[in-house]
Amino acid sequence: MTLRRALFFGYVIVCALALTGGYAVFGTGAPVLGLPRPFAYNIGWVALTFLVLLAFHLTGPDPEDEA
Amino acid sequence: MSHNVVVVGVAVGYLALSLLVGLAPSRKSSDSAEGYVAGDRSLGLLVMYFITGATIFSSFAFLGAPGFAYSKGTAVFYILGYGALGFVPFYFTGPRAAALGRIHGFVTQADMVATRLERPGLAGMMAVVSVVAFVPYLALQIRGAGLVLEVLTEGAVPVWLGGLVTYLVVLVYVWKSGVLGVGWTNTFQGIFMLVLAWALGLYLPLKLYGGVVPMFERLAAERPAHLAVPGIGWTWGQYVAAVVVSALGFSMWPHLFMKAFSAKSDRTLQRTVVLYPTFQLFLVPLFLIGFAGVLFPTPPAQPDQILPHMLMQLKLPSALVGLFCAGALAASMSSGDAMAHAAASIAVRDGLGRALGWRLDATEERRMIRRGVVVVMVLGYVTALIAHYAEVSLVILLLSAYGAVVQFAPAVLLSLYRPHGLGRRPAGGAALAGMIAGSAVTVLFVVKPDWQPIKLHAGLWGLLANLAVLLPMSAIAAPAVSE
Repeated sequence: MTLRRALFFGYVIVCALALTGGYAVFGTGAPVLGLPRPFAYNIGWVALTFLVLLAFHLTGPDPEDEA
Repeated sequence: MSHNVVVVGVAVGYLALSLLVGLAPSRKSSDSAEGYVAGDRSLGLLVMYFITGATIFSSFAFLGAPGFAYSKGTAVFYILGYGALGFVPFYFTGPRAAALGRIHGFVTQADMVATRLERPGLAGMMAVVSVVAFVPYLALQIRGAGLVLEVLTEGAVPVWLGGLVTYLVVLVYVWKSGVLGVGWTNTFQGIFMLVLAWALGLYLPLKLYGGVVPMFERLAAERPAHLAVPGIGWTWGQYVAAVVVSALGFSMWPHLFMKAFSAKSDRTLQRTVVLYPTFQLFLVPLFLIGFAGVLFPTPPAQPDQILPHMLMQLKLPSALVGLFCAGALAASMSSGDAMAHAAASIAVRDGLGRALGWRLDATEERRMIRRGVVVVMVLGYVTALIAHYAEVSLVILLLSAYGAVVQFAPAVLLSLYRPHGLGRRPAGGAALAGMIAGSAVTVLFVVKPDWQPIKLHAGLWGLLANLAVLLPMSAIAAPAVSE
């Protein structure tokens, strides 16, 4: 497995933990930018996932080239 | 002009426009079943993006999501939780399935699984589960369309009539144009829904509270339970299980998975997955609408009616109410069309063709799938009316369906990456036994939730049972005779 893929799967694991068990720990508290913390927390992870996916995609080879 | 005439006029105009868009690509695909079901594997990024996004942006988006936030508070965020990662596996499995589809001519998920695992019975099982899963889901869409028209016309258009007219339009363009009709209308409807969702999601908090931030400040002061995690009436176990099951099952939904066989290229599939979280963010304004309803002076008859209820109570211009009505119809139609098309394709290709061994040439198959669309629509319509007028809950059926679809995951992954499982011959028997065990456990725990050892999601228990049967069975399978 390439470093790129390992990093991506590492992110997926961290994100999955953050959106389940981690949410109970870090998802409460003071509002963020006027939004309730749980709301901002979930929106933040969705947005971050989009950016990580985009970076992963743009730095990878074209699947047709791989085949 | 009276309020009802304007609302109905805008809705009819919208339906006519949808019909035109849906009929436009009717001559753009070949006459084969592959053309009708997979669009000759020609869908580009824009259509793929909206076909996946708008398909899940169902009646639930304009009715259920605000209603869920209104009644359960932060529990609604589980949708963002599973949506963040739910489509990621498809980045890898999608191109793999597409490659197999190009080689073997697959156009459905069950087609691929049954062939790769060498067990036609799997196609039959998946066809039955898919149709059983789709009918209540479709019924909810039809009922949603009828309900919106009924509420917004103050009863002038009853549920049976609104649902009937809306889905006659869907039937015509799905019948005529197949997946291309679904794709083109989903693109049109998707853009319309997104604009409307953001407009209403920002307008209502502004009108009622002076903005989004003041709204949440008032909620924190007056209804803090709505902002506490994991949500009103939910335990952490239920919340986490709901996120996990929904994320695992998300890319297994047959009507979404089938799009792997429709995309123009692997790159298109991957780009669709990359862009998908942006569609998830379009749910944010719908949550804002639900929270805006919490301190609204009068409550709706049911939580799901909070948005149309507020629009009616605020005495907004009839044209604006009509536009919302069109948006809700768009949400209903953009999911209902894909489900009817997928259910009919799977029932004919996998159920009749593969499991029962019917021999159909391309023209006959296409004709049968079209008839299947009619049958599925009629089933959905009748189910919707029964649910509405006899007050029969579709929720149990729907929960069973969601849990059952998750049971496809092990068989799909085996068929893609390891058809022999842990043994030395195709693990079709083990996969079928696992799927049956998983579906049975899911249904059992949906019907008898108190029997669960720990209160989680019924589908999660089903998945554990599925794996507990599949793994040992595939490991102990004897070598094939030819080996």
